[in-house]
Amino acid sequence: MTRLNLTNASLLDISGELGSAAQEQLHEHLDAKPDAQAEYNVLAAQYAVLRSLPKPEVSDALKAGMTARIKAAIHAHLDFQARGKRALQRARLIHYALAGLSAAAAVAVVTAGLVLLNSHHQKSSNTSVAHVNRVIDRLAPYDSAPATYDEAIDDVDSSVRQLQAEESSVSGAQTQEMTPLLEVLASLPANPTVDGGVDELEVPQGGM
Amino acid sequence: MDARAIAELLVRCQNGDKAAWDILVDAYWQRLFGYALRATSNPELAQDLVQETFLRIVQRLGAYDDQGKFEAWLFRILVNLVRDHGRSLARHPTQSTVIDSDGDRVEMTDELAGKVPAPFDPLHRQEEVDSLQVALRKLPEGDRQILLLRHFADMPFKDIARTLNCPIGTVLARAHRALGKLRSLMEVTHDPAEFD
Repeated sequence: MTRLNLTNASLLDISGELGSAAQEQLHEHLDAKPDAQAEYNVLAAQYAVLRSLPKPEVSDALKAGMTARIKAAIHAHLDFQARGKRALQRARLIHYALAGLSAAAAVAVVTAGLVLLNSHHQKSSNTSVAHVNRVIDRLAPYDSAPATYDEAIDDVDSSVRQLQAEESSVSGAQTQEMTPLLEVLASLPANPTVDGGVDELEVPQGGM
Repeated sequence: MDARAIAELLVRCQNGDKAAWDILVDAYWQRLFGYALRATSNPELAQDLVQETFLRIVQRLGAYDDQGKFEAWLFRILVNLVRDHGRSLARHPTQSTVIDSDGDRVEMTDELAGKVPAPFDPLHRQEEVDSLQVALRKLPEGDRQILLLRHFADMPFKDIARTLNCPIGTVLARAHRALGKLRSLMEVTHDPAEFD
């Protein structure tokens, strides 16, 4: 057993906190070691000084008064806590109710807005339809009138087709009439100056 | 009261059961008061500190997770309150009232508190008790706490270690040192040569 362990074990034994097995082991050691026994005795004497201090003797009246005072203070505190809890619960309830009401109000406002928007949209749509219907009604008399523009377009179209046909026949006739002339031109000599031809075209002077 | 009974009692207390709180007060007030009285030498202050200890328990028990250390927790609160009060007195010494052994109120300064006879002690051996009180006051605060908790609060050393948050070896070593110093102080007090 080390010195520190011996001192600690002795102190625990003297104060009555050492287990029975350790107690037995300690006393075997002390019986075998007179020095250790002497140290134990010194420690026991020191502890006896502390034990000699009397513990407070409280009268029954003071005891009753003091415990009653402490209990009353605790009860008051518990009541205060309970009131606080109840107030907190009420506050939570009010908070949740207000939150619910706020949400419901928000939903109502949004719904009302949507309804108003929808009715406005429907109203303007109805107005547009009525306007279109009025235009249609105004155009209705013209529906049975003859389509003069279509006839005019058809006339123009047929005229164009006729002109196109005439143009192709005219160009064919021109080609037929030009053929002899072209043949004459082809029979002329290639260099008119060699064969005494005209070197220059005479251009009449003055008279302009 | 064993650990299981305390645990059950604490559950009832957490649920706001006033009867359970009364049982808790009855179970602990005397040991708390014993420590507070010896630590302050002022019965009224000791009562206030014990009441304050219980009120702090009421406030904090809701968040308390019992792991068999309730007693250590309870006394730690009281030890801290006593220590805080001591520091407050050291900063601002004031007049205080105590009741002497005849039951009369006595106004006294805090510096003299240790010299006034404790009101609940028997009258016989008063001189020896006074000497012990004075000797106890001369011990370092930490060492004095250990002896007061062991003797006046009947707290085992292992619970003192839990209360003060230090290893039991340290507590035992400090207790050993404090006891030696206490005895030597007592011997000096009773040394006849002093009175020559």
